[in-house]
Amino acid sequence: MSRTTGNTLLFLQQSKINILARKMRSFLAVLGVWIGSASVVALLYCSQLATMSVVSKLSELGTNLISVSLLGSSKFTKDITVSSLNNISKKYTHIKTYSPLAFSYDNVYFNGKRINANVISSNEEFYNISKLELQAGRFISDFDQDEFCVVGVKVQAQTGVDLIGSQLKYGKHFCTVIGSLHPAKNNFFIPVDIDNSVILPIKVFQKRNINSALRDLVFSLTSSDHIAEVEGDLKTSLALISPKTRTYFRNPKELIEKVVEQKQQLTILLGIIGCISLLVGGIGIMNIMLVSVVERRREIGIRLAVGAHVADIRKMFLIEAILLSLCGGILGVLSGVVLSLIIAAFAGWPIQLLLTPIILGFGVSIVVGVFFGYWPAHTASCLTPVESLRVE
Amino acid sequence: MIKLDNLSKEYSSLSRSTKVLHDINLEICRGEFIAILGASGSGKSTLMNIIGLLDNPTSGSYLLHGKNVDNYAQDDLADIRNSKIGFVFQNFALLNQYPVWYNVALPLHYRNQDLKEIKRQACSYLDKVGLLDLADAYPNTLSGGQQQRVACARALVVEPDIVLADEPTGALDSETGKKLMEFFEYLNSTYNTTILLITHDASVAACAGRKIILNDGRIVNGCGYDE
Repeated sequence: MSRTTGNTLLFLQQSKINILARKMRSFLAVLGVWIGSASVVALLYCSQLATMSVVSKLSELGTNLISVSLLGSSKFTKDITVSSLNNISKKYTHIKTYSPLAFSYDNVYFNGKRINANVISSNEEFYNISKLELQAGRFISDFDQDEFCVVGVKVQAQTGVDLIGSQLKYGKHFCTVIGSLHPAKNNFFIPVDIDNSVILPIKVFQKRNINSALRDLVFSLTSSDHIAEVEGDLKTSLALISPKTRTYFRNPKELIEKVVEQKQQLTILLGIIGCISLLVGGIGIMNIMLVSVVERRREIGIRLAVGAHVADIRKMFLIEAILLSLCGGILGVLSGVVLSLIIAAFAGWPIQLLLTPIILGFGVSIVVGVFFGYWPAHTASCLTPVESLRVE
Repeated sequence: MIKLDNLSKEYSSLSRSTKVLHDINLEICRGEFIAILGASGSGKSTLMNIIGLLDNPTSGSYLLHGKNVDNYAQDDLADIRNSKIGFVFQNFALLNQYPVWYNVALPLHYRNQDLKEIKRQACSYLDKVGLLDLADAYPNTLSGGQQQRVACARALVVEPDIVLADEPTGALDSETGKKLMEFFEYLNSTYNTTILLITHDASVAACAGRKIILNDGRIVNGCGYDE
């Protein structure tokens, strides 16, 4: 005797009619889910785009780099010299090249006028490792015996003239500018602003500043696969040269992993915050559906009288709740994506279509519809025909 | 077709219980036109609700086509209502947000039929009650008489064994009420549809072949046949 279910197409049609019959109320129900799912999508989308942006910037540096900061008194770090590093570099086949960094805290002058600039010294490999680009002239060479230097774009801008061929004074020494650089890419491994630096050949620099010690080293490896192995070897070798020097190792691969891990945690947190607003939207749907059940008690009675099953009544209200959430979900996903892309355009993040936030936002809004629609639907299905028909 | 044996109905609350039907014995045969008469509170509507499987008796038995319906599950009772019983209520009980044709098609909605077929059947019954041209109108735009005819079409669309009409003329003027009763007579004589009519109006009950008078939940005119 039992049948399966009523005509699904009719169920959808009548749900559409019932939703449209109460336009303002339906709009308010949709609005809650709309805002909720838009915030879920926007938060997840922005978080993912921001992560991608950071990861791509880190990847641009090259994932085959190892940066070592030498910490401790220069009395000890001085033991680590360019020649000792050359030996280490030759010893380990996975090290392609390296670049040492030493700093001077002397003031820089041009034509007797002080310039706000850093003085750093390195080798010619610094150019490739830091992915620098020359604007004019040439970069320092390991064969340079004279006091030559290369200037960053901000140093050039401060003087207001073409510095090539000019002399800069740092401390008691002079150096001749042989090249100027284009703006440098942001590099997490170089602890100074290259654009605001005067770069000198390390050998010449150390001859003039006998007390200067190396502060940072950047090694470029043949492949990122050997990072852990080379890090271990370097730790051992540096400890042998200068046991009292502490070393701090960083590499882009590890940084990327850390950033991704942190962003994942942030994404979860943001997702939860978004879900709270979606939860509020869901409660709105439940509230409106409960009011609808009370208002439509007589309709429920009529339907039961003409042969609706309890499940049919439940299905009717559940479909309405899901349709409302679905509308809110679609609008929320669209506005969330648009909002995220606008933010991405302003923040300089990559503009990309990401499926995960869309699927998540949409999926969660449907789950909200089912979850918050079920109780009103169940309440409706619990009414008896006689009770319901008695309502005027 | 329908047999009620010692059927009683009692409503209980925490403080008291009220017996609204007392040991009702009643047999209804196919093709009968019966009017149940009685004052307000006599138990007419309760009896109709039980016969219409909308409510359960407290005691006694109800046999429909020889089968005791007391132990049927809710969904089975809904299926019987859907296939064998047509209801006409005093205040029409139409859904104003849906067009007239959908109101007539409402019972068919729960039969898993094709949408086009549902509409076709609904329209053929609207034609029978003379309202085909109003199929796409909304109930609240119709007159009382038209609305009650829509309700009749809804009751008939399932081709029921019995039509239960609870004060069908109650909300109509006397002229429209008279026309509705003529329509019931036509249904009864032409299609042999069993009709059970609840009324407190003797002139309305005059159309019926058998009158059952209820007083304080008891049938007071014996087996219900005119004496």
